[in-house]
Amino acid sequence: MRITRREFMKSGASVVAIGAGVPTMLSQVAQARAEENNSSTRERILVVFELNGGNDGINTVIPLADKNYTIARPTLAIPPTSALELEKGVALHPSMTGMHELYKAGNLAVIQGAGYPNANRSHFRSMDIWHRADPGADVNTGWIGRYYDKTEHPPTSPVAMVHYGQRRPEMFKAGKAPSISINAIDDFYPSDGKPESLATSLLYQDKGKMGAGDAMMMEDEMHAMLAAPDELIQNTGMDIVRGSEIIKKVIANPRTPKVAYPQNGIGNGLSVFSQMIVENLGSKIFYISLGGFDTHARQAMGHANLMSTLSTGIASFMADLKEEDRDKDVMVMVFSEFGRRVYENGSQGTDHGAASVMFFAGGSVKGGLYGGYPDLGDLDQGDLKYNVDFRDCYSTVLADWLGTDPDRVIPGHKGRTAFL
Amino acid sequence: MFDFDPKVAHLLRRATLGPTIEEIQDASQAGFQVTLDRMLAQLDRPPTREEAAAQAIGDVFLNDAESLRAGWMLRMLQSPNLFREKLTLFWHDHFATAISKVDSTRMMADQIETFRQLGLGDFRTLTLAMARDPAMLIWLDNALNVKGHANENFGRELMELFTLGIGNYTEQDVMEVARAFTGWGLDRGRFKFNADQHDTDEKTIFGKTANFNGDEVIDMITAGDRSPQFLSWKMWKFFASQDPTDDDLKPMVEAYKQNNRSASAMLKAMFGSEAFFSDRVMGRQIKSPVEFAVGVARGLKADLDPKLFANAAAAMGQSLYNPPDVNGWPGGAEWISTYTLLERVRLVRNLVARGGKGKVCGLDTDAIVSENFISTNDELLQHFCLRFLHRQPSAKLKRTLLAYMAVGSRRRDVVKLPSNEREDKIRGLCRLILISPEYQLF
Repeated sequence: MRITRREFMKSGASVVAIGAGVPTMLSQVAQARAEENNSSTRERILVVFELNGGNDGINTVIPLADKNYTIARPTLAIPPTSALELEKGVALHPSMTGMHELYKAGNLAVIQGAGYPNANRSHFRSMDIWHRADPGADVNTGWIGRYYDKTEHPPTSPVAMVHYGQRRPEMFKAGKAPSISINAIDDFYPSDGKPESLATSLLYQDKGKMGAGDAMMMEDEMHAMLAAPDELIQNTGMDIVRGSEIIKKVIANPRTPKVAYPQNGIGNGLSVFSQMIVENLGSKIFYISLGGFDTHARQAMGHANLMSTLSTGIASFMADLKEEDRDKDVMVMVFSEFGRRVYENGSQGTDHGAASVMFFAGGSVKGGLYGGYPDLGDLDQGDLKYNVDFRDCYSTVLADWLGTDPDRVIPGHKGRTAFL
Repeated sequence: MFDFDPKVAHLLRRATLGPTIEEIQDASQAGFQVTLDRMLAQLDRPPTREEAAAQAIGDVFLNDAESLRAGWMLRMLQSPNLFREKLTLFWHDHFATAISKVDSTRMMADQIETFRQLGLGDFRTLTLAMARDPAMLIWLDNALNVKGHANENFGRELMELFTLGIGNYTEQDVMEVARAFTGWGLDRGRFKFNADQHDTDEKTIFGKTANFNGDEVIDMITAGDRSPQFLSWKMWKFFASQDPTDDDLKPMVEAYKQNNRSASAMLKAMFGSEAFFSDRVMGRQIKSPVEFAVGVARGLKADLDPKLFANAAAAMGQSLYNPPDVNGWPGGAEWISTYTLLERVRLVRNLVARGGKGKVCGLDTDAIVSENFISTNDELLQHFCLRFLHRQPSAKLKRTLLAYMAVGSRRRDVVKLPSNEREDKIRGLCRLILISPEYQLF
């Protein structure tokens, strides 16, 4: 009789008791998992969810009590009756029902007025600022990369940092820590059910039984990929090889989540993340990005769809993790490179702004509203003034979630927000 | 075994797409200066019959985004004028516009054709054309930019990404430039200036006050000192290296100023400069997905559906007609992640597995071996490294290739093995070279 993962994790029982017919690899993986999940210091995981293009914070977390709201947005203002109330006078966009439920359950922290001084309104410069967070002399590093490089927390797995997509995010960048960019678990092993390393099968076509000479050939072919004048390519090749070694340990049968994920890129990405979390592959930092937020024109419908994608994705993800009893180990951080202007433009859209909102979601988060909603009547060049420096939020994450000294990663930000 | 000039090889690799060793040899015979002059002169004459045929083929591919990019890929694989295609790719990256939002294959194809027509000429003319380009008007919302509440999208990106670079204008300039472009709209897919939507009040831009319109703004921008500096920087990063110095760019900036903003003069200055052939540049740029895909296709003489290559390039991170955002494709190290590197390997494996007896894809390897009198493993690997890399392999790669050839060969040279084994080994040799990190650089 096959017991469920959950029963197994709780019991911590010896694998031998499971019964005949269970392949050895399953036993070994299950054993390791049981040990890990019963230990008192489970790995805390951060999922960074980027909203790319400049999310309109004002229509995401809506300042219904501010009389300027409807004056500034004749066509874009959300009616109070459709908005989802968080506290008196502040509500969520109507599409965000899933995240509204998380808020009511106390698992969603909303940071109002998040930004930084001298707001930059270029997508690329501002996104750089959020990803690198004061690199100082370490110019080409991101804050997560520096978390690994500069603190006493070396990455413990070749798949420590995981990115869903093609281009490595700036925030992962550093000298030493490996990261993988993937599209699906299948990227790293063949989907024909054979738990082989994909790097192996890519470099050497398996023609049946392999002899000793063939094994040596595989080695040499991996070396071809690594024999590099250019370190970056060499390191990436190594990341592929080592990453695939880890992932091949995953049981070949794809995991069916107990929760339905939305059928879109975000749903796919988050379900890959949850699989990697549940399989305890050693991944600690995940990153996913949703684009389309640069709503200069005809914002209403596009933004509503994006809020729905965001909310349904996060809600499914948290529900899935809760089913697997991992929701207290995982925190999702949502941010965007800037908000948008208070006044709508002549095309029923909004242009680049400054301060916006951040979210933190998770079973260990202290839900509620943080910061203060910036006054729509007291603007800086037409834009909201910030009152929470995002680097203080990062520092909070570094100190209270990732358990390190934030000063080594983002020097000089002493403020903390109490969402943990 | 191959007789060519490394400078010519470098010029062709960087200025065109995936030049074959045969083409490099031919150009070397003509010499560097003649090759460069011919390349730059090509766009001033009417298209040849072959070019016209390639154009006609490209026009058929307008059904959807996938066909569209396959059509351009076909031109890249077949056109006799690869410098033009490479330069067009540069402008596509520079004025990055994506079909995912524009949603019209016709408009996107027309925009790229504008790059082909105006790409070597006056930068001011090209920028003015882009301000009226239907795809651009949709992409940056300027078609909806009306007086009263201007839409800042185009005005900002025009300065930040197309002409000046960040830090060379103020937020006030952005708002005022936006007003200058109000009323520049679309009517049934074509540019139309709507006078009643155009803001004719005074605007203060770069410290000057007048009733500026969009044309005048572009005049001001392209006449200044900042514009040639920015454009040179973009060109150098695309064609040469990721870290241009001011000295690298000086000749190009001068060329712009002395030749009425001519892109052709700038490129001539760049390709003719010593810096372009320095150690900082040669062999140190990571190939873009398109450069890589076209290179392996032409190197292996692949005769396959261009969709395969266009889709492979997209999987590697460069989907033609569909840059990820208005910043285009930053290039350099950004091309390499575990995801995209695996996709390069996949394409190579796909191609190398093809080809009948004695062939690797479209490359007649049996003929190559006999025509070049190849007998030892050393000669074999030398030939293919020169063929694909245009130079000898590094010591590490050479060791790997020799070890690969030795395994299972019972100390015989590969060319003397029974034909099945020999073919396998030669396929494997090609595969290893094409997935090697050295091949990713050029």
